[in-house]
Amino acid sequence: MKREAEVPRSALHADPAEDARDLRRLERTWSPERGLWGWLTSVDHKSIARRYVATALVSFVLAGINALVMRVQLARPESHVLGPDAYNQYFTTHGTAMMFLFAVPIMEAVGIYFVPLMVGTRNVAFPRLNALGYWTFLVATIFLWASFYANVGPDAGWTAYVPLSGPQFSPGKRVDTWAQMITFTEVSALIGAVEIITTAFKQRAPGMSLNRIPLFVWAEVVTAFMILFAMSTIATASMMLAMDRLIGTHFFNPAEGGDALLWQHLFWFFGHPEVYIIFIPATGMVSAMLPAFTRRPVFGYTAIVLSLIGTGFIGFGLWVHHMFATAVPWLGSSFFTASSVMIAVPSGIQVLCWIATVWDGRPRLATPMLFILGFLVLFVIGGLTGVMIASVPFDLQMHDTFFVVAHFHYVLIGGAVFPLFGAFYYWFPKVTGRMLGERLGKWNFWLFFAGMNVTFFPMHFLGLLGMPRRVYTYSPDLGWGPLNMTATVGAFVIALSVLVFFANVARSLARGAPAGDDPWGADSLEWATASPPPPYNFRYPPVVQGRAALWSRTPDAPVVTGLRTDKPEILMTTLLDAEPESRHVHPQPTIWPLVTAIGLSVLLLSLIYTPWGLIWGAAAVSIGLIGWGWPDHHRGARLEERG
Amino acid sequence: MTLPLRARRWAAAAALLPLAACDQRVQSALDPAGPQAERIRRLMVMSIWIAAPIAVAVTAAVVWAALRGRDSAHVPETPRADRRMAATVAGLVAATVVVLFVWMISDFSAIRSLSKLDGRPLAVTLVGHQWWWEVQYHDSVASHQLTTANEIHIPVGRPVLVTLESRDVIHSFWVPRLHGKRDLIPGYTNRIWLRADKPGAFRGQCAEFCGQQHANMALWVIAEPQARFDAWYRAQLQPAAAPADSTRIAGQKAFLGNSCVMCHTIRGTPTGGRNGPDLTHLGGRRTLAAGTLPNTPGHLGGWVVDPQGIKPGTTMPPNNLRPDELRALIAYLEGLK
Amino acid sequence: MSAPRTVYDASALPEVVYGSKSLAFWGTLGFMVVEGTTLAILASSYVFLWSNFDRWPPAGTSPPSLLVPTISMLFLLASNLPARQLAKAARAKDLRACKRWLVACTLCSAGWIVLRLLEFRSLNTRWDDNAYGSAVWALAFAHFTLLAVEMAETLLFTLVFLTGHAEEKHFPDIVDDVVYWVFVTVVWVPCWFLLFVLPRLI
Repeated sequence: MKREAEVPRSALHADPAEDARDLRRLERTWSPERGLWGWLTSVDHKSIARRYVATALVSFVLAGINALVMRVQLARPESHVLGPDAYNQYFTTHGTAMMFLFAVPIMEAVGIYFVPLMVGTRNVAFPRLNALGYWTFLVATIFLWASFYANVGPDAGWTAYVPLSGPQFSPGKRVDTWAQMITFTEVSALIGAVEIITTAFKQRAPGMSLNRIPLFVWAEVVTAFMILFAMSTIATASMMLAMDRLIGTHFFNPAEGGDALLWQHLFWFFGHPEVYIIFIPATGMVSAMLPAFTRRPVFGYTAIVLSLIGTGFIGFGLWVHHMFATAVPWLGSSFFTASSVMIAVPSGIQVLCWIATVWDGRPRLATPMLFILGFLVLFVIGGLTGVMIASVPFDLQMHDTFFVVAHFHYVLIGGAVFPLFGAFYYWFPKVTGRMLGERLGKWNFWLFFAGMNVTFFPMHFLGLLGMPRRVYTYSPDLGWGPLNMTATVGAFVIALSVLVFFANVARSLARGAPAGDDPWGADSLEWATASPPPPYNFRYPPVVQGRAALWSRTPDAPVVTGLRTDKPEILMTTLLDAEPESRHVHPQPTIWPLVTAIGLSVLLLSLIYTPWGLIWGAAAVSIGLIGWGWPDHHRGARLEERG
Repeated sequence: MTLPLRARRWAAAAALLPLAACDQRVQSALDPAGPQAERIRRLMVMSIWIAAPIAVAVTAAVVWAALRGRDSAHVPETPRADRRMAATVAGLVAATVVVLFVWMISDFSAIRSLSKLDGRPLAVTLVGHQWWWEVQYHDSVASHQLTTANEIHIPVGRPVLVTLESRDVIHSFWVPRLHGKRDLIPGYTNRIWLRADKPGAFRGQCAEFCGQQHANMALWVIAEPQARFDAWYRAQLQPAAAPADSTRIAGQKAFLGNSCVMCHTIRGTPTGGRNGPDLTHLGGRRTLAAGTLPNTPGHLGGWVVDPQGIKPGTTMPPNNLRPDELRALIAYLEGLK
Repeated sequence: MSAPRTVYDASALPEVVYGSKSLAFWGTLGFMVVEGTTLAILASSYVFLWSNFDRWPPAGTSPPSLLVPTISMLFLLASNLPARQLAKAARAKDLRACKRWLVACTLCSAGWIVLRLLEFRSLNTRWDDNAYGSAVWALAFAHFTLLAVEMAETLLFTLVFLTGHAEEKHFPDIVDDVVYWVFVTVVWVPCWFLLFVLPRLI
């Protein structure tokens, strides 16, 4: 143990040589190890978040290809591109991958990247756990797509309604694949939620009291809380389904007192909040981007925060509106209609605040701003159709039809993917150090906006004309052909716009304009460091002087010094006022999260085939956890050496 | 003269493109034939009339907001301007709440008028199977009870109380021109009230994903004047007529001598299979295989020989029949009016 | 950007903090929420399925015996006494007391496991008998896994401490471990009531 005086600590140096030495030591302390080993052992939130985003985008593309093939099948009546068995795997995998492998993880991944930067800290709260979350997610992704391409993909719908998904009507392992994949992704989502909450609660820069937390961070925190409750529910439900299939329990088997509707209650108690788990971070992105493109703070900070929290609560109170056709009692359904209508209020408040921000600002129509404006229009359309189907009578007609397909694609693509693409354009310079091209960006936006409307607006009519969803074919006599053809054309326009996006990314990575620290003149802390940020994020943890951290910063830019540079130390602050409270040494890069994830894979995958997988798997996981938990104390911190 | 005519047609077609199915509305929720579907249509139209102006207004506001201040010189942010904006936003939020409240009240009043119909109902039980519909008519007289499949005949103007059950997975009964949908859930017994106020054939389709052939699980509701319904009912109660000519006799023999009898019943013959639709009066139905094919001799032959090719996954096995056997079987089955 | 100036020197801040000041506490809390939700969902499913039966346990299934489950539940609660001593020792950074109470707690948690295994036998039903059996077993087994995890964690700490690998940062970790200990033991009380008492009352 070194004596206190010898401990190297960050300080402001007048001497450039000393300053450089200090910086080198900080870099050495925080840098990951080199090469493949370094890649496998990294615990840096930025590199893990980048992998999350990349993996989720792979699923986005593959699930998008599924959608295109389905649209080709439906373009004309009675076509034979896909048979029913293949079609059912295509749409189930499309929905499952888009929800569990793309939307939720990518929203959390952006949080894992930017929450630490926005609150001015150096890493997420539990870096090794974060790595475990990613590896688990990667296994889930590989697992689902491998099953799909091996023609054993899940085929009971992303909702996996029992008894169809039960042992009697779905023999084979397709549904088990689905159930275990759900458990995997939920492990990863839950880990992400714990990371985000703890990071935002305990690691904020001094001065960032509750009322100065950036809206994006608020959105991620509210989402994380929803994830804790919702994802635990679906993980439990999917385990119950797996047990029904593997060891003969009867939770959902009506013949032995089980209940088919129990599954629906559990599924939608998760499934409805799920929509907000995807949508709320997207609203956070909108609130994060708007100041830079309107050159003013977002109007109505407090109203927006309260709306987010309100949405989080009400989001758990409307699951039964997915079950109106199962004949829930009148009184119950009225309650759920009322809550489903009322959740439009907090969303409406946010929309009005954003429009007010644009109205009173000086808008700059760069690509991220276009995506925000597109989002506002599309989301309002999706929200209005949402209020329509909150009504029991309306829903009884339109439930499980293409009207609903149109509705939730307006909400999910318009409400979440548009802000996400805006965020790609906005934060790409921070992550890579290079700007995305504006010209291609505008093509990307307009093609996406047009394609979105051409694809999904006609689906409202298809629903009204009686077309149910999840059908692999339809009769020419029903007159749905032209609208379906239109939708298919639109789907290819969307695909083209996504291609333009990837072309833009490739071009920028090769020869994009250098971004500099703060290309947009934005207001939050991630722009106070280099692009891309160094492994330690900030040379000196910043001190926050106002809600718009960078705009309110005084010219002499206050910082925190005195953190050790020879250990990965972070500053912890109090929950409410973000007063400095303690220093915390972060873990070093380690292989054990990967080993644990492999153990977890053994556990969950073997459970598809035999209950004894529980024993083998528990042993495999234990190996990882023991290696993880055993202290490595290469710093000589052992109490008993000190005597 | 042909050219302008064709041009006119094209113009009309283009104008109606979004609703090109106007003349094919056998399954359209926009073309109600009963009181409930009509009530819901009114609610839907009202909702669209509320929503459309809001969507237009928001779009206009977004576009205008984005364009008005663009490239302008510095707009001073005064606390006063922000206060004025706060008042505007608060007013719009209040307006939103009021609109939503009114909207919700109209929803509730619509629910109330849907739950029950007056009058002594015709009682029908609909049992969902993968992937067809079993239809049972109840009567206090046991000999007046009737089982048929994939077609529900009802008298015009009389309420019908349909009891919904399932033997396998969840299905959903949905005839958009009469009413919204209601699920058939194993372990539960659901009910739905219907009434057709005009005669006609209304197509319905399973609306809850139920496995491989969910897409081909349709049914027809045929509403007829009471007298015609009664006649139909009396005819249905009769067992199948004994085949009169030699082809049909051979057809019946083929039916009884093959695996058909494992699953199907033809009343009046020694058959009792319950796994598939009752075929006693198959010849009188509009479609085959739950709305998959029109009921013609050609389609019937194709269906008997190669059901898996037509409806992959269906529980009906393929049948290896000699050509003359098949011809006779078709003649026999089509003769079961 | 002009030259930054120091406004806060963090060098004097403590490195080892306890309770809600420590990161691990929040992580533990997060996982308690997850596991609490899991148990709540299983308990709700139990009640939901109950409504499908006239008699609960259903006719033909004998009710679970009360004796062993009650002893087991009381033992869970009693095990909080040594756990409390352990937390006290950890807060006082008393290495020797920590070792002593860690061993005691590990033995206690082994006792939980043994009692729970006996308890499974006194459920008088199998998970594949009917929906009742499934619901009972799911709740009891889910909680059993929490007990096993807590036992494993305590055992790991015990080994680290007994082999002389303890570091100062482990003291707050032990306090968090005890927080989780309290959670897994107390959370069983409503479950016990639901599985063993309520069906007798109604």
